[in-house]
Amino acid sequence: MALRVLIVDDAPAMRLYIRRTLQMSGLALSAVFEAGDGKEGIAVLEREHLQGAGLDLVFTDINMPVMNGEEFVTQLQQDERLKEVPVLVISTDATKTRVLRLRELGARGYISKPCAPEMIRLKVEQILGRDYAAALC
Amino acid sequence: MLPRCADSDLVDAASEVLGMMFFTDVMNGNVPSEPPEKPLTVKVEFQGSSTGMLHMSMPRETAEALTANFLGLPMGEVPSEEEVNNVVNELGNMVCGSFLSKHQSEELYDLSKPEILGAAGELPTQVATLRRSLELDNGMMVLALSWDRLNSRA
Repeated sequence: MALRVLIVDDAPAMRLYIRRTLQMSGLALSAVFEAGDGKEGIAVLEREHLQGAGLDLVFTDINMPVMNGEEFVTQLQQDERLKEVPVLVISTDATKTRVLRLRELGARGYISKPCAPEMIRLKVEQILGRDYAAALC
Repeated sequence: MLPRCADSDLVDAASEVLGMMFFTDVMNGNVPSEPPEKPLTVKVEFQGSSTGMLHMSMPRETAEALTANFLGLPMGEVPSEEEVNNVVNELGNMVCGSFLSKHQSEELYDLSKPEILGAAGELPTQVATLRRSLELDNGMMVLALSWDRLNSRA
């Protein structure tokens, strides 16, 4: 079994950066999905998690059009079918107020940009469990 | 009046972003220089307890080198214009966000979608309150930070 991941970010360059970092980090990936905003992200979750093979982890930005990261996390937490999927926020907005708010809303982890590639792997291990992540390598 | 530490916070933010995600070192954070000719310029506005904007301008060659580093392109591969614009937009977003997080870590703010300015886009020489030219190990860039209101860091 390998990880199935969703990346929600309106910046194509950042989606590619996260995808490449995951691929180069040694984590086993079976699928990486992308969405340009929270609304698209919800649609991917409904398709891939509820009707497909499931998703193990979601990365999301905060500042996005249509549905921002806070709204996205809130909607996931309000949906009993989707709230089990861990969300890792990755954003330039590392203000204490924002980090605390996202945690209260239900985000499982927070990475502030800029971030070294190894930080992304470390956070994935923290959220999914070191043994689980290591077993996938 | 220049908010306390804004200049060092801005250069530190750019240095961290470039170092961690673009594998690029800032050799000098305040070199005297003229604005680059035919620059690629990105603008990011911020609004919250502070309002203002960051302009980041660089020669095309610098933008291509940074893009290649960020995307991990093979040596010698030249990124497309779309790739360069996407990456420079994200660079502007990260530097602005990182600066605000350093300078006003307790505050909430919203960043605008980064905007690449057209060929006529120039740095706002009259309204920019803080301007820094950075010498990079693979080029140069100019940062211009202007604001209506920016709180002094405690």
